[in-house]
Amino acid sequence: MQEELMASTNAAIISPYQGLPPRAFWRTGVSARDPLDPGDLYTRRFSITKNARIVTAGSCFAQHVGRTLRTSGYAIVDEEALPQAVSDKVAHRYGYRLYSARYGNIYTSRQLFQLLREAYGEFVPAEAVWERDNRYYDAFRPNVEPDGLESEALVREHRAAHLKRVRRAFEGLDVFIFTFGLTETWIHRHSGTVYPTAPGTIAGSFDPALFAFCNLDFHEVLSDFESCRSLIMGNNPGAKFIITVSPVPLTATASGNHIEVATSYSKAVLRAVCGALVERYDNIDYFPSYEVITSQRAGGAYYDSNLRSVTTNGVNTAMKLFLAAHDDAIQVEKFTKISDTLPLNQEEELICEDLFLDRFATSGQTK
Amino acid sequence: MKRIVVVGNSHIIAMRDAWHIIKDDYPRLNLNFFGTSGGIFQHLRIDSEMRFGCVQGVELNPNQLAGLRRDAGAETINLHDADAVIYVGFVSYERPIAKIIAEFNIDGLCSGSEGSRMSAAAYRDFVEDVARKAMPAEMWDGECIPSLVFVPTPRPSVDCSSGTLPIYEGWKRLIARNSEVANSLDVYLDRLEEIFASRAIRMVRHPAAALADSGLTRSEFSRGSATFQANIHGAEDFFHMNRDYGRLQLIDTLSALRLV
Repeated sequence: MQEELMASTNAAIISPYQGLPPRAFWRTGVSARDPLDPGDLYTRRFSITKNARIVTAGSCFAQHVGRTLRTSGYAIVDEEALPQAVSDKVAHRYGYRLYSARYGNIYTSRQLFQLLREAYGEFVPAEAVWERDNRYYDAFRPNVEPDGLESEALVREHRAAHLKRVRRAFEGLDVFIFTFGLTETWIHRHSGTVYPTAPGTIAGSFDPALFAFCNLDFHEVLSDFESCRSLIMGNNPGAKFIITVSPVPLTATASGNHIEVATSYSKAVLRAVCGALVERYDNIDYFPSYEVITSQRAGGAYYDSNLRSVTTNGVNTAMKLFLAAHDDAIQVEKFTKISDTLPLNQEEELICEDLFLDRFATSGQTK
Repeated sequence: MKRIVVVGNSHIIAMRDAWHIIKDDYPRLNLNFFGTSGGIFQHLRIDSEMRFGCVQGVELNPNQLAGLRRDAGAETINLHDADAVIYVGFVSYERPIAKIIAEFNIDGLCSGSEGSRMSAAAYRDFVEDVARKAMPAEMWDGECIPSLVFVPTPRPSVDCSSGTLPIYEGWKRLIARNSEVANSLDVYLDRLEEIFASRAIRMVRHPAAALADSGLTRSEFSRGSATFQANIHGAEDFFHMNRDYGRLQLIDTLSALRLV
């Protein structure tokens, strides 16, 4: 390839870097950019039309993606839709209107694969119902009923009905947008069942004989998502995928590493998997929301004072880049008008199970 | 003689027509009707003199003003010397609630939908949220207007099963369901009634005798209804009710006033 390139160009060219666009160089692609301008960080691989049926899932940051696309007029699938008369705040409290079905946050590739397998009757998860104060919670979406339900049987009935909706969502989609969030998860030792949050955090109890910490590696995440892709395409051959990595750092780590080191590991694995997936499959595109928010050019400006939550401005910058690449300027303008009226710190309204972990943090000094 | 002012949008017609038939049964009541089509009615306001209608600050275009004069016979009506005020046709937001009932099985309330499950707690919170949206503008204050009663828009008739407009979608799916539907709607109206009461407003429900098991209005009550724009029942109009419905609703409303 390189030889062909060399042969086809002027003999005076002495380097393969000669003639490359400004985006290929750090000085012109980053240093010279306005601090909060993402520039041309993203070039779409395929377009998404307004009529495309889009299913969204992923970690908390994925809620921004779904909300923005819905606001901008895209056809976000909602298999458990509430009437618009119910306000977002109340709907979100019960897990409605966050994603294309009421599955809550899906932080890991393993959790996604498990959900799909369960929806297609290929997997029966272990310890699927957690109890707290005589109320019962769906272990895989513990936030969708903040006060739990009356009985374990009722939780199972709700889940069975929900899984039908999940199947419908994935069978009817044109585009699946998934935001990778974490590699760390908690696994049921005997069955391999994973949970979005550690047992005992929101409900249930932690038994080390039953559950173990698991930090997925590159190969596992890659394999999980490839399996998801196969499963989805097995029922929906025309499906396309857009993947992204959440720029939100971990709230806590059980890896034994410092939280920054653990975050770096997780994000590096997830980013590398995205790269591999895009290399391997033509129907997968990567959207660099991670790069937009964490860019050194932005100097941390897209993070809130806790250096973790992404600001409204950060979300808007990333999503405008996405919209600009995928549709006409009208939608971007429309979104710009809407986003300008959004309150700051809107990210506080995100429903995130992992924030519960923060209560375990002590104020002790680092050794 | 007690003076009762009845204001409202096009749904006032059924009650106005019914009054002509039953007024002899209420010799001590004098009802003054002041209604116009919803598109005009929504702009009308109450001023500091307790006059309702096209008062200072209300901007109607010439066509709307002419429509108001034609429909109501005047531009304003006095509320200050009324013994009671009846507001007919407030939007009760039952439609989104009907849509929820149509699409979800709600724990302990209704089943039979092929849709997803919804917990009783979630339904209760959604009901509360929607009911708050149904509250009328602050000018309708039961502390300032004595014996203020609100009458909701009728539920569509069961004939809406043949309707093609999107507004009937949720309702259509309830028709074949059992009385659990009506119970679920009642949960909403119960809460609505409580919130109205907190503003010293009484809310009158749809007349029970006019409702089918599904909670929608029985077919015979929507035949021969009229609006301000048309004297005949439009082919896609299953919301406006006739004089017989108006009679049942008016009797219930006058009873709620406790003036007779």
